[in-house]
Amino acid sequence: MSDETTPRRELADWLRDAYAGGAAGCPPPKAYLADEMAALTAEERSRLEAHAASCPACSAERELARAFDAGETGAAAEDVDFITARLRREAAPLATPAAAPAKPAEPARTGMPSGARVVPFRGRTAAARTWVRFAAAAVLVVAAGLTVRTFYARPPALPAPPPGGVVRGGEVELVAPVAEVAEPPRELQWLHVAGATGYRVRLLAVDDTVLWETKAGRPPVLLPAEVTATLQRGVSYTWSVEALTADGATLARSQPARFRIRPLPEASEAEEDTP
Amino acid sequence: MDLDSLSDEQLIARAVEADGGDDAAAARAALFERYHRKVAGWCLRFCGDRDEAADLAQEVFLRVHERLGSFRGESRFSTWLYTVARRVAINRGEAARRRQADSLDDEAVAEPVDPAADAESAVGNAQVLAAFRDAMRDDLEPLEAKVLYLHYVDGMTLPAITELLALPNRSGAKAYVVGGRRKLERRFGAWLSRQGGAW
Repeated sequence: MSDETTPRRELADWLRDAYAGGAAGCPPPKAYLADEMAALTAEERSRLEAHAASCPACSAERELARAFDAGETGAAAEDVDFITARLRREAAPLATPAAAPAKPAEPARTGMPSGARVVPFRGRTAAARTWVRFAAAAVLVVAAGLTVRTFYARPPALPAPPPGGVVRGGEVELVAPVAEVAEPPRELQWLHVAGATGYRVRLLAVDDTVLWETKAGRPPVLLPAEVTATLQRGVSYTWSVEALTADGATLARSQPARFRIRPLPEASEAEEDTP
Repeated sequence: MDLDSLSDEQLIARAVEADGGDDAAAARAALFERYHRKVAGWCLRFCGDRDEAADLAQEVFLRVHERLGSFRGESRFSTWLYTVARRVAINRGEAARRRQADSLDDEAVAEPVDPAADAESAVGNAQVLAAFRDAMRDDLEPLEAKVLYLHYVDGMTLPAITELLALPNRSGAKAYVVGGRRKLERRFGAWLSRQGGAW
């Protein structure tokens, strides 16, 4: 960690950390979407509903998922129109094809709300202009994101994570080892991701050669003695974790975390310390 | 080709074709047409303010545009879209909170806190975090806990929560935040103060 002043931790920080990555046993928030629920068996659905009834996080996420399912229902039409107009003006690459005007989508099949309307598409010149604006906006968004990450990431991103800090990755957060450690690690520790039924863990050399790979049910995973024995002092290693669903799909990934085992003192230095 | 007859997955396959071109642009536009009002409606619910919602919706579609190629069809497109929208919304709230906290800290001169304590909190205080979750579940009324979660974890504003949950009381979500905080303060206030935190 740098010598920057660490912001004071408030209730909100603790609550966010308490639910970071989902509380133990919680499904991912998307599980409460109607389409996802419909794909479950009756028994699975009732288990999910029972869980949401007793879990504040899932109860809240269920509200947000239902709001998504509701689409524009209940929203003021003029507000939706206002947003739509902004989107057509400023999110042009997705909104503007180079083709002829499209027919209105069929609500029943596409899931588009019945009040939806389609306006004529702009020509290619306009699309090209909006691409330029879009690219500039993208650069700004990325730059803003990098700025926020640089100044506010806690702890800082690789390659110099703080000793003992948590590396916040895509969604899997790696806990230890990170940065410099005194002894070869015996285990790799990360935060459980709600909905994950297993994890793929990789230990890599600095040139990204995979030194060891395993699957684990829950964090942490113990490093086999033969692997630990190959780790050398003064050498950096990285490790990463993928959270997996029951069918083996990737649910979330960590960023790679780097650690280095502190070298032993040189013999001459050790002798100097000897009285 | 009538794009309306294609499934989401078929449209995505066209939209991310390496050579791009008119077909890809048309496929992206067709996807946009299917979902933009749904996303707009959700953003309005999440933000409770149409200017904020327009900014959020724009960022969502920007992200969709950037990441459409990474969609592997392992879930429905609408599910993926929701995941993207929710993540963008929460990240925006987080960034805004940090800007606000930074601004407040500039005025109040934040007390330095031992960085090791923060690192320790993530590793060694797993029990504390579990205690927060237990308190949310056991000490608070379900509606209080839900409001606190939406406000502090998901970053929704109080007026937006009031609307989302259709709270009929005059002060809306604020009453539930006050009540919930009071209960949590009873349990954690003294401890949090000792950690150098604020209530």
